[in-house]
Amino acid sequence: MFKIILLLISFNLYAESLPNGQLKSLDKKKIDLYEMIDGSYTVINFWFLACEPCKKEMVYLSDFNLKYSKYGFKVLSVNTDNSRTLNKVKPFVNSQNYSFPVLLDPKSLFFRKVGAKVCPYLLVVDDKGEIINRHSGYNPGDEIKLEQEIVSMMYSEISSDTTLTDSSIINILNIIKPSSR
Amino acid sequence: MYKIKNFFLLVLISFLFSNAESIITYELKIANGKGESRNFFENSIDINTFHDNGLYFFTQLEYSVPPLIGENGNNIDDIINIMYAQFSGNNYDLTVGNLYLLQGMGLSLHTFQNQDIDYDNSLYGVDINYNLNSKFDIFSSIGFNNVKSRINPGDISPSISIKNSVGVIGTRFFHDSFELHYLSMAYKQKYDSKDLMSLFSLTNDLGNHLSSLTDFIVNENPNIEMNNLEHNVGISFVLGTFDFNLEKSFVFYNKILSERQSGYKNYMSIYTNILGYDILYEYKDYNTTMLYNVFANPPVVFKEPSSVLIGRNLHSIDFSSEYGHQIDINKIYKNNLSFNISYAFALQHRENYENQDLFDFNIYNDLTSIMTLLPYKQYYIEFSNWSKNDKFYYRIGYDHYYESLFDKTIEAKTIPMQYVYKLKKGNSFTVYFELQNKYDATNYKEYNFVYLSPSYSHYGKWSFTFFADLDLDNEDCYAFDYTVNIKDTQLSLFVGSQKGGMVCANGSCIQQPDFDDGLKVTLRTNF
Repeated sequence: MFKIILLLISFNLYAESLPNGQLKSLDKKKIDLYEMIDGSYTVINFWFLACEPCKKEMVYLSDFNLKYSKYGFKVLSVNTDNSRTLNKVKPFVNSQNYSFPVLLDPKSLFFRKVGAKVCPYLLVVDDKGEIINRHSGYNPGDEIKLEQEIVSMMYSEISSDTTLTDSSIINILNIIKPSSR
Repeated sequence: MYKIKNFFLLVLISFLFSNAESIITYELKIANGKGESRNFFENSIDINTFHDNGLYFFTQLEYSVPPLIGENGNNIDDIINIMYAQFSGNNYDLTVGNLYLLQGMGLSLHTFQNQDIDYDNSLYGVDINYNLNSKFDIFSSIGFNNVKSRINPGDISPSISIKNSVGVIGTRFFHDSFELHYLSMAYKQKYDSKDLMSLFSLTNDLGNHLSSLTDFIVNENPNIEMNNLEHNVGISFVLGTFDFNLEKSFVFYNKILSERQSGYKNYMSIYTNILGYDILYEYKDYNTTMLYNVFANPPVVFKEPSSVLIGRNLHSIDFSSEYGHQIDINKIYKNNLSFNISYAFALQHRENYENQDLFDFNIYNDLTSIMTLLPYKQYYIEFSNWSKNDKFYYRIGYDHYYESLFDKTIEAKTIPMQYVYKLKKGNSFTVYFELQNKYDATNYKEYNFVYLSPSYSHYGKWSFTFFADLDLDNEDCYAFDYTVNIKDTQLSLFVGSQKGGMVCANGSCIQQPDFDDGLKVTLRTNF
């Protein structure tokens, strides 16, 4: 088996591009992921209804989506509940007033495609569509590190913003170095 | 052997299209425990390969000797768990290999893999979805499989193995928020006498029917073949502030060793928002009592719990024979206080017993009067919120579960609680604290359980979790878990004993089996 794996690895080039996915909106419309991302800096998170850590993380993702949208950043949320609980997703999402769109992956095909195994699972994707980091699981406080990653990823856009007054972003800019991008 | 041949064909094709990218995920699980613990050694590798021309391959390899649940996968044919290739053209999507399909709400067709319980009902064949225009799709699948499953959840190895050949054709129309689909599914099933004997242990009408034929099945060793047909139609639309979703399946099948039967599966959901309250009502009626469902995975119409103790009394839904309904209400108040309340109720279809009207509210007063219909009811209420300074979080719920099963009646009252306190620099304490009072009405026994699980997370780099699972009348379980995250790799070490169910630790919630006094190691990494 290991020979086969080595064989597979040997002929594959190693760029971590985000694969495209055919997902559905909460209104069951077909969504092409690449069209939705459209060259933005993106965080994609995967979750399901019975996952409490996922829901905690999404509160912060909703804040980040609003806070950094003017720098070309967006959050896309992918729900992996299957037909057993699928119809409960829209009422829950609407009740939470998230600022980001929630897409449906009830067959978990896209979840599998990006190499995820457990929820919550989060991908940080740059404006060229490269996956620059992955996070598995969420503990309260992890959002601080995630926000630093987001700011680091968009360092040039944010640091060149002459109208920037948000002290929390300025503090992060002071902590991270431009070379960390 | 067909898997191996196809696999090498895919490898060959991959060589031809060498300008490819890949995402590879490796997972290792090792356990070494005492007593009745299941020791296991599982390795799985998911290989995603993307080619410039849009061709996509997925292969899952597993080497497990032994696996946690299921059979040893140590010969070359068993190593390939899943394998499929997908190609999308301008107007079509084509998949060859293992087919994971979902049409509508899964009343007739939903194939999926659940690695935790070693279950996979995917077809091995070809699926095509063709877009006639922006509003019309037609789809068709053809394939076969050998679905192995465990009749008794406590079994390690599959007790039944049903061979199926399936053909599906259907169409879908969508316009704005309106969607209509229709599919027709014909499938041939084969059971051998060993499968039939395994079905004896089902506690529904099918199990009773087969048990009554025990002598014939044991002496004659019959092999059964049946041709089943399902027509499935679903519609969803928005009317004013109401979202409707209606679906029906007509099922024509053979009652095993008996006459031709018809059955049905109905599902409806209505969702609306009234005065800021998001309200969902769901109704189910699944009535194919003499059919062992292999491809249906419809809505459960009850709340799937995130609590450890509530999860230990999970409603054992019978997708062949159940009707019921649920109402679920969500609301976030202005101070960010989150509120959820849910009520679910279900009964089973039983041969020679009249169905109850779910809107006759008298039946809810005394469930003992309808005990033969195996009533289930559960209500749940929950509040949660963060403090204004975003430092402290609480979640408090109350759950009342009642279910009459074939051999026992259980009532459980549970208070699940969770508290979080955030320290500086992204460190945090989290505590899961749950109390449960459980009453077994058949044996007149009362049980009291306490679950306590504090954990500390250090800046997302590592976390330490302690588990105390206290049975105030019997043996307690203690354990701890240390997890470290390094870039794309997560390594967990678990030491101690654990009762099975949904366990949340290290920021993830996963179904875990019982484990007695030992060590478990889990490693996940992306290449």
